[in-house]
Amino acid sequence: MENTFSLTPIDGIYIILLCTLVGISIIKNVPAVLHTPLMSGSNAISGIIIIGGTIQLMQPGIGFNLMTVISAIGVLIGSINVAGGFFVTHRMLKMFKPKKIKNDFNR
Amino acid sequence: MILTGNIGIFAATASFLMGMMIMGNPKKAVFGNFLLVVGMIVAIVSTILIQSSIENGMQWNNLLLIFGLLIVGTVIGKKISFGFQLTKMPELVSLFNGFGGLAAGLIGLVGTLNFSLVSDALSSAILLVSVFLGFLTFSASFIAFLKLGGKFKKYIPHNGTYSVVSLVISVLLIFVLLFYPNINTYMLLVGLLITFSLIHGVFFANGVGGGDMPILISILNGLTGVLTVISGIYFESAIMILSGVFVGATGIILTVQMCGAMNTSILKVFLGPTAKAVSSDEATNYEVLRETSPVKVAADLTLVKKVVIVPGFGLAVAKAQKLCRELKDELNAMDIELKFVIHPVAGRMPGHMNVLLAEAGIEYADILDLDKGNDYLSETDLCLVIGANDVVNTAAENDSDSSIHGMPIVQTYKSKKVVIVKRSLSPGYAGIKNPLFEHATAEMLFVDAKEAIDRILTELKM
Repeated sequence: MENTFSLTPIDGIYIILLCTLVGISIIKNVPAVLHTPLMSGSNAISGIIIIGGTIQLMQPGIGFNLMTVISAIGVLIGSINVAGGFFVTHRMLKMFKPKKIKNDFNR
Repeated sequence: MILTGNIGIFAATASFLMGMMIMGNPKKAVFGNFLLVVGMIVAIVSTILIQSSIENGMQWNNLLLIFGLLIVGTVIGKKISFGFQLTKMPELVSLFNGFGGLAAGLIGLVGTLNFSLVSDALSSAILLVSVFLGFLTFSASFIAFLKLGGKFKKYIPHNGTYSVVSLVISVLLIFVLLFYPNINTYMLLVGLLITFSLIHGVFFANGVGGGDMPILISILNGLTGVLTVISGIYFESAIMILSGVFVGATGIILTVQMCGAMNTSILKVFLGPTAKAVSSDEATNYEVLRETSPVKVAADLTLVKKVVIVPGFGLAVAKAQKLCRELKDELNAMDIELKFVIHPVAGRMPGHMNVLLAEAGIEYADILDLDKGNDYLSETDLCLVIGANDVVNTAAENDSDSSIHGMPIVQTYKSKKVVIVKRSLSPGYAGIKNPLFEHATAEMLFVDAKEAIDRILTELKM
């Protein structure tokens, strides 16, 4: 455990502060047209919570009990969130590629 | 291994940042999304790498289980996401958001129930809050999903009271669990906390009026971000904190922007009157209405130079986007200009209508936002309102008693003539009468959006 980079709560607060500023400045520049894809993309990212479930499932000495089952369900549902969110975002963003669509409409 | 893992986390962070930045450019956004996917995969693999090297006696069976779960989840997620039409995107987003909330709640629950691992007060507080927020987000998103699909339209009397009571009980339960933990009642109280979180979510979402649904989705999205941040602190994972903050920031900014576009405030959304006092009779009682026909509209179109279409959710429901594009080609061939004016909250979410029109191949230059659109409308000869209602409701400007008073609208009355394509006189999402229909320059076309455009097109081609 000695050689890991663990976080102290203070580090956490600095990360939150800096990321909030960076996040806001990035997202502010996103045009309104892209707000729906942006929302669904960020929704997919929030599924990163499955990392927590992964850590729980990898704890040493963990057997098969109720906890494992709940964690496993959590990871499963979280991964549906992640994958589904990215697929939906991709479907929406694909529509903004103008050239490909034009060909479909050559009546 | 640890070094590789940490480099991976760094790469994932960079990938998320770049991805979000590129997502702001419509033409490259697909690549941005791809970067986000890469970031996610790298983040998960790196976490597993770090975890497997710091913990001895790790169980490889569980690693297999994790990969199995991820693959199954991906397959299910893909199936769900392709099972819905693009018109139903907002529903889909809130459904997935609910999944995210549930996952966070379950993961928090495991932490809470594992006495041996909860060492300090901060950790247990974080875990209890994430159980509360997780289950709340789940039930609220699910109600939002049902409401958007029109499957849940119950008005519950004293909704606000129930919402506050369940919130207070949940907070009290968290305090009791934190400061007076008792091994005998612990499970029971956690169970109660879950129940009341779920109940609070239902009332929380149900209290939001139909028109404010996009704001609710955005807030719930922000909430999952907050959830991810606090879980990230508990799991000591920088990448979780970082992505959670991004999601939270998106939620906050989109909420603020939407509130601005709808001229409402977050307080109004949650505390405002939920029951629309107007009865359906009153909302559909019009005195003077001029009716027109597709033939007449087509004839009018041949005599004008500048035409505007104001699309609404009705257009999407009728799947008339592609016909709009055909109409546009036809009019352009006749040397008539056709622009689309999109209200910020047209459809069910900001930008939703833009996605649908882009799908049909209508270019950016022909889609105007509210400000430019309203300027353009004053020089427009004919304006077609297709499937939109509340966003063109002049009561928002003239009637200070109206529930939507103050909301910026598309000023269709500036055009020399307005034709409202609508199947019936039924009110829009806000459930109120639209005085525009009785305006001197307004004409009604009581046909389904798709059929209307189709018939106009047939006439024009003759």
